[in-house]
Amino acid sequence: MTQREEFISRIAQKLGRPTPTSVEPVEVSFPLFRLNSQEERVEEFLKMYEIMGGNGAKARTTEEAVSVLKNWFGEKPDWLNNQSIVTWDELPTMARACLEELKWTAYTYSELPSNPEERNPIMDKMELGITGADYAIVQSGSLILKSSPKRGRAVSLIPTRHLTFVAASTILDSLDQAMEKLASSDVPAAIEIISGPSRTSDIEMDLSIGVHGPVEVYTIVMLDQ
Amino acid sequence: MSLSNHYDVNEALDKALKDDFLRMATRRATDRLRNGRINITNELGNWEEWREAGEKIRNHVVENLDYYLNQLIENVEKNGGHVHLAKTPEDAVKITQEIFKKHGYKLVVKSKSMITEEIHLNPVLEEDGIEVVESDLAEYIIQIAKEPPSHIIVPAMHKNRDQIAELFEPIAGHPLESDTPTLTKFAREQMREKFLSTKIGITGCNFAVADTGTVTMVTNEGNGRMVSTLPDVQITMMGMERIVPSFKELSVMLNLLARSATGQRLSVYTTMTTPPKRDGDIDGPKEWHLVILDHNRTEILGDEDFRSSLRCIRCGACFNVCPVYRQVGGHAYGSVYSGPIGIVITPLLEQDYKRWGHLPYFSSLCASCSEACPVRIPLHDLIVKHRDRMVVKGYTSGLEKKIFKYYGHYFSNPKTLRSFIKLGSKFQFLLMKNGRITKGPAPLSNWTNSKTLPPIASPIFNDIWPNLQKELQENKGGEKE
Repeated sequence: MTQREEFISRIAQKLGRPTPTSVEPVEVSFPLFRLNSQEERVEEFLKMYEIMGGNGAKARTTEEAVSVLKNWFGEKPDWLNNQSIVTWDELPTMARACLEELKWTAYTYSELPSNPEERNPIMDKMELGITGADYAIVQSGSLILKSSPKRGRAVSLIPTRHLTFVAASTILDSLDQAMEKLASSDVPAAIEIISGPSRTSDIEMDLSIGVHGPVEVYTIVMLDQ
Repeated sequence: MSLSNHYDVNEALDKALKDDFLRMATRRATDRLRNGRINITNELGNWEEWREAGEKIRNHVVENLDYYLNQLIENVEKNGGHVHLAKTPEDAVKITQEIFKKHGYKLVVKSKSMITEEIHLNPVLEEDGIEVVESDLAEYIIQIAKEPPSHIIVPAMHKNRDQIAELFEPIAGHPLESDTPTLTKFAREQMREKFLSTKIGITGCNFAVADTGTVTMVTNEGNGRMVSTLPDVQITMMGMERIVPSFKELSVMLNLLARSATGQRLSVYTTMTTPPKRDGDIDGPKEWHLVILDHNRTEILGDEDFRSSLRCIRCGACFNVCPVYRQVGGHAYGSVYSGPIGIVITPLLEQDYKRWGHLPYFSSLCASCSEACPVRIPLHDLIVKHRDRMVVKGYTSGLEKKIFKYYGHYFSNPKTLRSFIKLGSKFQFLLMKNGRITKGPAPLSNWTNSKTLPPIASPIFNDIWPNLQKELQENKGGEKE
């Protein structure tokens, strides 16, 4: 008997039966949070996103998105330099167009050195990370980001600010819907569900924003053109 | 599972009760967590239906644990991860030491893991010459203070800001203001350097998903993401019961966990990793070890009285409503897991009533814990069961046994009972002051040292009962007319 077989068989023995070869899935029911229309989802998501401490806005065109970004960061942000923005390699067209329009220099994650010892110190100085989200969740004001070779995980984590673009059509009511979608496709190395900026209440229960992850988070909801 | 070799329950309680800041801070934190939970669970609609779903899912997993463990192990190995099964805490520590030995790493950054507390990993790694850095802000604070967690969700709730600033100052090398932004910023800067340079990370696991080989971790600070993203090698530690069948059940459990633990709709970061990194991925660990700990959980599984305690998702909701925990905080318990769930699982994990027999008495049996539990563990019933078992197995003190023996003997006979009460009512004046019993002999003194008792009535009820009965009869007769 291998160590694993021994480990498992002890459990079976305590349960007083042999290990089953298949198990009927458990059926549960609970009240579902559901909205009626996509317009309502967009509005309610933006509301909840702000409650969670994020800055959210919607944009139908690149022009509108650029004006939102200027509104958030100013015409020329004081943190902006040639090495202050890093983006996913795979980015929504609108996000890429905004950067061009604004003439903000940005690195894609794969353009940085492949050796973490060189890459990490550069990432540490980045002021803004730009990504695109797969889904958003109204009920909790969350964004869901799946990793891939073109969607590096550190881009949404290490820079001081995180900006993400999410299509209005991908906004879901609640986590159960998102999980159903995630389960129906290949599971990547990481799925991050992010709800607001990094925070802690570890010092005298006093809320403090920005511990290890991004201090400021921004989302642009891309409306259908 | 002791925190230091010396533990005396009375000393520990005295210390806690005399610590005004600790008691204020514990009340403040538990009030806030409890109220947050109540508000955010109300928002969900029918919370009882959610609890029922949570109970059902966790029961299902516990009852089919061998099946789901098999499935989890197969999927983790299929993805390219390494599974290590640890029967005892010593096994888990040894497995971890071996991984460090293989790579020769001298620095490790950890995110919060109660399992590593349970197996006492840090001191062993430090003895091996490895620098161990806790990255959760609260864990970092208590690591510097060399103290164990006082709460499973907010482990440093017993420390005030001035104490924290004092702990940070020697590391900073200069005086620090004790406002929250300054202290948080200091921790962020300290930790950044460690995150960016460590080659290995250790994390906990809130839920492992059997049908994908995914481990899920919830954090608010982002340290869990750092530790599972940046190092080359990652070790995940989990108790063997921390499984859900699939993403579908995970969504229910995440709602229950975040809402019950901190009153959040979801934690800021819910990190679902299925390591190791895929071909072409730029970041993420390329080597992943999943350590699955038994530590007598199998024994609990086989014990039908206590099996339900394996449903626990470690949200800490039971701590925040417990009148005993709220008065004395976590350290007074002397165990790694405190609060009502700690009372239930510690004697079982350790299979030791001799050392942990004081715990089932850290409860008023008010049942608030059972009511708060998101997976409906009947905690107060289990605490009573512990007491019952200790009596049956003969773990109670000689004095207690004697008292109950005499109590049973004399109080089951009306004649002797009456004469004892009479005797008491006659001589109790020796112990009385201002109409209350104020100083009793041992073991009554345990009560009268801090509180008073009402005196036995004089004359005693049994003596006036014949007269009362007569009066009653006369009154009844009067009514009839």
